[in-house]
Amino acid sequence: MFEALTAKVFATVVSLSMFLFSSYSGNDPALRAISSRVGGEYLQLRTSLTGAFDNDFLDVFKSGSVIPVNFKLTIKSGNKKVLERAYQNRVRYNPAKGIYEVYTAGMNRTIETESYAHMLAEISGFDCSIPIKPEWGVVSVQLSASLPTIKFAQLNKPVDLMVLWKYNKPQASASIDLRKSL
Amino acid sequence: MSFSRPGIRTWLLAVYLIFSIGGLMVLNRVFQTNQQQLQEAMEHLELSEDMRQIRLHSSADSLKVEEIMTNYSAAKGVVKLSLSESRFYAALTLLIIIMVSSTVFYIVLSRISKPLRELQNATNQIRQGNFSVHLPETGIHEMKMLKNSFNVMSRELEAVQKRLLVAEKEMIWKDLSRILAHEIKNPLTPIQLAVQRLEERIVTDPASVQNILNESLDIIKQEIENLRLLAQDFSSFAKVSKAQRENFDPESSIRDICRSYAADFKLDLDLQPNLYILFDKTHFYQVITNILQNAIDASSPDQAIEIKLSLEKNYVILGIKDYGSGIESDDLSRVFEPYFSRKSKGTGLGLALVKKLCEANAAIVRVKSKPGEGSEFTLFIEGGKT
Repeated sequence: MFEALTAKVFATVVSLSMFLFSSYSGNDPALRAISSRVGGEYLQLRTSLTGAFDNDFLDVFKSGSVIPVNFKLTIKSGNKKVLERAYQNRVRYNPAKGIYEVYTAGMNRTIETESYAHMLAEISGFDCSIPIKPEWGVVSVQLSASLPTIKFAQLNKPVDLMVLWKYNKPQASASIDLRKSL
Repeated sequence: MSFSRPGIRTWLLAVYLIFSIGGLMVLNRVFQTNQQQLQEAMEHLELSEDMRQIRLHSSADSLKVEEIMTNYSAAKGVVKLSLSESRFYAALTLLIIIMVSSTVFYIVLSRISKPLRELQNATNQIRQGNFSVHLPETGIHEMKMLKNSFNVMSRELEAVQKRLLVAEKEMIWKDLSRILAHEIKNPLTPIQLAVQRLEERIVTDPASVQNILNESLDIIKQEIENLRLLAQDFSSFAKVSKAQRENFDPESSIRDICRSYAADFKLDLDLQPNLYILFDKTHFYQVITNILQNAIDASSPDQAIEIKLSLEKNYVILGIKDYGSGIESDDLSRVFEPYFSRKSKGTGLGLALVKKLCEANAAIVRVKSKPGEGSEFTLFIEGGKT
């Protein structure tokens, strides 16, 4: 709760400072509503980031460095945390070939594409299938996304990519009754 | 919270803050503009596609070009990222500086204004007569010095106040003695006159003493009663100042008072009957006797003293007029001041007491006088027709 309050205060301060003193627009990432499906003993979750890579990301993606996007999934049954997993989508651009190599962690899939839009759709997407237990009953699913701090060979200091998201961690949550479909 | 006008220190702080924050904002604007221009310039640095179009003949050349392209892309990405980072942090830092400096400004202002408010409150208490107020000598150096000076001043004032209280008490006792002596003298005159008349009659015509004996004894009794009431009033000084107002007939009271003077002085009474006044009876006696005594002192025995009682709207008007020496115009405004007297034997308390007693009874006293033609005292007293 304290963390959420701090994040809100910080987000307000950042918005105010950008509004007053900078023409920097950055990005305002958000997660679409989580869609879920229970199939057998697995729960499939799907969502994607929106507004996360609209500005200033093109050259960052094209830098040739690996750019990760982190997702953190938490499932609670009542007040009890029953599952917590971290996923990391990654993209790497090959400047010589002009292609993007995208790895989506949820599906454990790697694709190659020349299309920037396709790459964005892949890197923004979150799609996973997780094993469930019937006794969990009604679960609350919480998903958040973030960008890590990375180090470029051309720069002596590490750079926190969250700057491009103005330190705003998009979050989404959903309540799912697992018994209905089991 | 009441807003007080800011002082010079506050103004200086405000000006300093405005200039420093304003300067930072201007600087930020310059940097932001430069960064924006740099970013726009970076948009045109697109070499990758052109480089890819070049057909190279050797694998070594291809590797070199690939390396150049990789380095170029990485450098461009890093520059763009650094630009975004600097634009973000510049704005955030500026806002934090403003917030922190505003907080510091507020704290400094509070540290300055709080002791000033304390000082203002303490000064108000001093103004209301509480000299025992002392301030804790805390805060910044200048404020400590100021509070110290204030405390020294309040301690000195407290000491002076104590000395003044002692002196005032002494003065009150002296004044009281003088007033008492003066007020005792007034009833003594009719008593003395009554006794003298009896003595003269015993010597000149002993057979007719009986004719005036009762009247003289009545006068003496009356004046003794007045003396007793006076003593009673002085014994409870607080009660004297508080008028016990009641409705009574002023005509009979004036006639009773004048009876003791009538034999020796020429008193012309023109008193409207069936009136009442709202006044303290003892105070009324003191007022009339004092004014009458003044008129007698200013007149020769053959000069008449006129006493007139009439009604005008809601006021009973009592005029006491003599044709004596009168009062100089310069002295006229001072006749009601305590201890002011032109008489050789006067204490100067008679008319001052008249004014004080009139005020205590919501009455007004006025005086008109011309040197050599006499004086007229007029009382306006709440009252009416019975």
